[in-house]
Amino acid sequence: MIYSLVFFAFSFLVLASAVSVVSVRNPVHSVLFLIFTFFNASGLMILLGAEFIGMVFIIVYVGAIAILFLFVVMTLNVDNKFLERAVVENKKWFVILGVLFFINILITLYYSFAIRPEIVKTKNKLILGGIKTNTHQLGEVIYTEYGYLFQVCGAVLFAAVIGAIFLVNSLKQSKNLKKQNISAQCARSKKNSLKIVYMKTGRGVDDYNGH
Amino acid sequence: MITTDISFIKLEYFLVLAALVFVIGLIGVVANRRSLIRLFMSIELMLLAVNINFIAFSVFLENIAGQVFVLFTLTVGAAEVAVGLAILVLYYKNKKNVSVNKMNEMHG
Repeated sequence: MIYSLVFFAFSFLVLASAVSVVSVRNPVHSVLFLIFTFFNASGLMILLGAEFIGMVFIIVYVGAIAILFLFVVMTLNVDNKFLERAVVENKKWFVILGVLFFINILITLYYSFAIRPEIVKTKNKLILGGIKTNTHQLGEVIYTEYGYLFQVCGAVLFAAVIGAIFLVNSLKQSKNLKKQNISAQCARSKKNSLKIVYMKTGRGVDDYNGH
Repeated sequence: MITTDISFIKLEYFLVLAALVFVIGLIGVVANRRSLIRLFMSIELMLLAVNINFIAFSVFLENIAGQVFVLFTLTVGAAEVAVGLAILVLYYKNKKNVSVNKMNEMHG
């Protein structure tokens, strides 16, 4: 009983904050609602007994991805007035499209369960792996059965690192960036960059300008 | 022994919840012309819906493979966000805006 209350509370919060993510005007608030959505979703996963995935969700999404979003939103400094001018005018058609798509998903779910009822014939009382915890169960298969996929994951992350670094490095060609002109720097000599003046006491440096 | 009595919660509840989150993310993708950042966030919502589906099936069918695949989806999502945000920063440096409406040319 208490579990179903917790489930409905978490799922209501997930839905409410997901709606807020797409409808709130300020992008910083949107990112914060995204963080809240992920917290509640990981609460749902912990309720289901998948506590390792729930914790990984908090670490990866809240600790890395949402903070990355927050950095980008705060450094880009996009003008809010510009954003408000570009509001979509006919929003209700998109909502109707979404409702139709949802009905489509519901029909698909209903008929797939009607045709193959063994899908829903699951145990309601879950005994999650006996004495093994969820993390133990995952660790038993992830390096043995799914070892190749694990390696492919590493390759994907490596490609993402190379891609991100390459893209941001190509900013050097941009004309907006201030950077050192190396040939001009090396061509400087003592004659045209250094001036020796003899100051009198009690006089400012302004008197020697141009000499 | 770790037991969780979830007899009040059915698998269908999770599926409907995931479908709702997916549809919200979809509306966020199509109805959004303001900024590319919000589009990325909507894509993250859709990924979250898929992950909820995976975990619900994994738990109710007592098959750990679903949770392993959630880890892989998470990796791909993180890679996508990193590259996408790098492209976004590059685009902003060149064009001074991130509006989806104004992205109508292929060369940067």
